[in-house]
Amino acid sequence: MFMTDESQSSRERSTTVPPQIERQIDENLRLLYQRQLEGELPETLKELIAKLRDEVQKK
Amino acid sequence: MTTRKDRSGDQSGERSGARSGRPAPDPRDEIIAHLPSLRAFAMSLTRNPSAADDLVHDTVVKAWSKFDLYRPGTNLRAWLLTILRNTYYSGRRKQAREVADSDGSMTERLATKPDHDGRLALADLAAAFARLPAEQREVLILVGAMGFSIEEAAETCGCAPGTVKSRANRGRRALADMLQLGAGEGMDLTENTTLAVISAQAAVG
Repeated sequence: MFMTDESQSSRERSTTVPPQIERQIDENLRLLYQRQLEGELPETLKELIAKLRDEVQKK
Repeated sequence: MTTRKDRSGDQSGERSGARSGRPAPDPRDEIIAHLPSLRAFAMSLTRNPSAADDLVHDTVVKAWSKFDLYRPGTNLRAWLLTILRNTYYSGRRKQAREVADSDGSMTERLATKPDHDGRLALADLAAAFARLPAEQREVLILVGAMGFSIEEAAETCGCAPGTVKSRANRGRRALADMLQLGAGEGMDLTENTTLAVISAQAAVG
């Protein structure tokens, strides 16, 4: 069964949201992402970095 | 920025260090600058802080040891994110836990109508976002939140640009449905308004 250009475009249109909603969603996703960025790095990651750097210096 | 000396493979910078008394910076140190982005992206995939930290840990180890595969001058963040997502999906295939929800049939509306009254609570968005399939979450974070172009996101995700667009559209559609957002509702979702909501919620505790 072939998907015609028309039916494919029509299917895409049915999943797209209006531009204003798209902007609002993206803006709020950016805020969520920013909040994640501001979180403190866990000690485990800091220790990993220190360990990796230490291994480089030993070489 | 690599110098001729660095390109010769002397990553430890011993030669330059002997001259200046200071070792040349390890180019892998740049990975550290991207840790917050990696962590945020890992959270969007795993939806679990502990799993996200483990994922970032594994990503850093891989990137550090395989840094010779990174092409200097290209987008390091994208390279790291690619390693991270590949690691995530490899782990997921092994566990075979999550079911792909390509048509959104498993997406339900939130149990209670989001109290937006013109304002979208980030917590509602976060809850709805967590319900999306991983493939939609990752493109929405890359394209919607991190500002990747469709082509950059496609390269990171290892798929065609059309696939990225399709997943992003479906993801936004699902979010709009779950959060009951519709055209013409006249909602004010400006950043200032949202930040005011967050501040008020923080003040209340």
